[in-house]
Amino acid sequence: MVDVLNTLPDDVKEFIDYKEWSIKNPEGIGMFIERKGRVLPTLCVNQELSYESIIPTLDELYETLLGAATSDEQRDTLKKAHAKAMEEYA
Amino acid sequence: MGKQAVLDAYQGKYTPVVPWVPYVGVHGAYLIGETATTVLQDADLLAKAVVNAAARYKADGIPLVFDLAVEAMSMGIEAKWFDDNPPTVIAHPLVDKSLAEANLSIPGPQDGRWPVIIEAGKKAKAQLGDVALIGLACGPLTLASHLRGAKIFTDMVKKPELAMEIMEFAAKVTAESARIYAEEIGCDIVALVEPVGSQVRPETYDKFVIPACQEAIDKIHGADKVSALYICGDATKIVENMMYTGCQCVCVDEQLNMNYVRDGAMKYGRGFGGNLKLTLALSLGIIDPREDAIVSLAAGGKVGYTFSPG
Repeated sequence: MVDVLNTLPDDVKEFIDYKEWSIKNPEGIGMFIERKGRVLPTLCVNQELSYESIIPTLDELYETLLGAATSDEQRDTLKKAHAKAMEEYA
Repeated sequence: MGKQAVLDAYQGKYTPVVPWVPYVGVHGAYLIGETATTVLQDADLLAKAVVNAAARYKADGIPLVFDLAVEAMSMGIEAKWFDDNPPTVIAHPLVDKSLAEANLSIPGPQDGRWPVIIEAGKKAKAQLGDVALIGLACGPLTLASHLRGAKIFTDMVKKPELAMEIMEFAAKVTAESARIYAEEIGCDIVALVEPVGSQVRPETYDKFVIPACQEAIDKIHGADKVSALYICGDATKIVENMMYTGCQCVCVDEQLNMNYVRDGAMKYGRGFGGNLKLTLALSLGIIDPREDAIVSLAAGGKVGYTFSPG
């Protein structure tokens, strides 16, 4: 699931503060409880449990990120990146 | 107890005492004072680690090597070694190349890491006595994600023909891996390990994963060995689909409700295994491992059940 974030281009990664938590240490368990996690792995976006044990397609991931974007600039960058990612599937 | 109990349980049969199969993995290296990097590349040390772990944990069955990078690395795909974990695949050759362009071939017993694993397996088997040796082949979906990266999950929706082409290739690699474990090494059980399987939707699992497992399962059964499917993660949504894969036993991780898995397995006459809480009980001790074991054993019962970590 982590790998899906590696498919994002650098200009999108610039405004994503991404952190991976391990369930194998108390800090990670604390975060899992704080976020009210139910299953592993779970991908959270803006603290919401967005993908619980489901690897999103690129369409789904961009849609979620668009919904979480906080500025028009971010939304514009995401739309362009999404369109570019989909060129391969045209 | 011993090997026959594991074979019986994995085939869905009654066992007077529930067999115990610890998935020792690279922890076996630690137990003999070595690193994973060293043990996984040395046949004598790998055999020693497996035999030592089986004796130490009084196992009825034990995996030879729990490392899902074997097949990819044996194709020449780049991976990173760790002293306290199995290697991780870090390159995805099909992310920007077609199968033909990448010029990948199915690794055989002479290729990549296989000679060390085959030698270790033969040595371990000769010393294990009444303990079932379990070969673990990287499942086709997991291998496809090694080859194509996360794009494989978008391919399955947007370019299903490409996803199917990659899955068909991965299926042949998994089948050869299963054949090596079953025929060349003589493992008593061969399991297809599919950690990514729980992270796709049931319809995706049915369309892409079940067909891709068939050749490997045929190879295992053709060698008169027992087949299994190991799936990590929360596989609740595909428990019934897993039963249709055709493997004789399904083993799950700590997130699943063992009663639910047991009922599904018994409905289809499968064996099932799990699910001592690896993280909460064994790694962190937050839950008492003894009490956790009692809960698993009570849920599992004595028909087709193998007690294992989840």
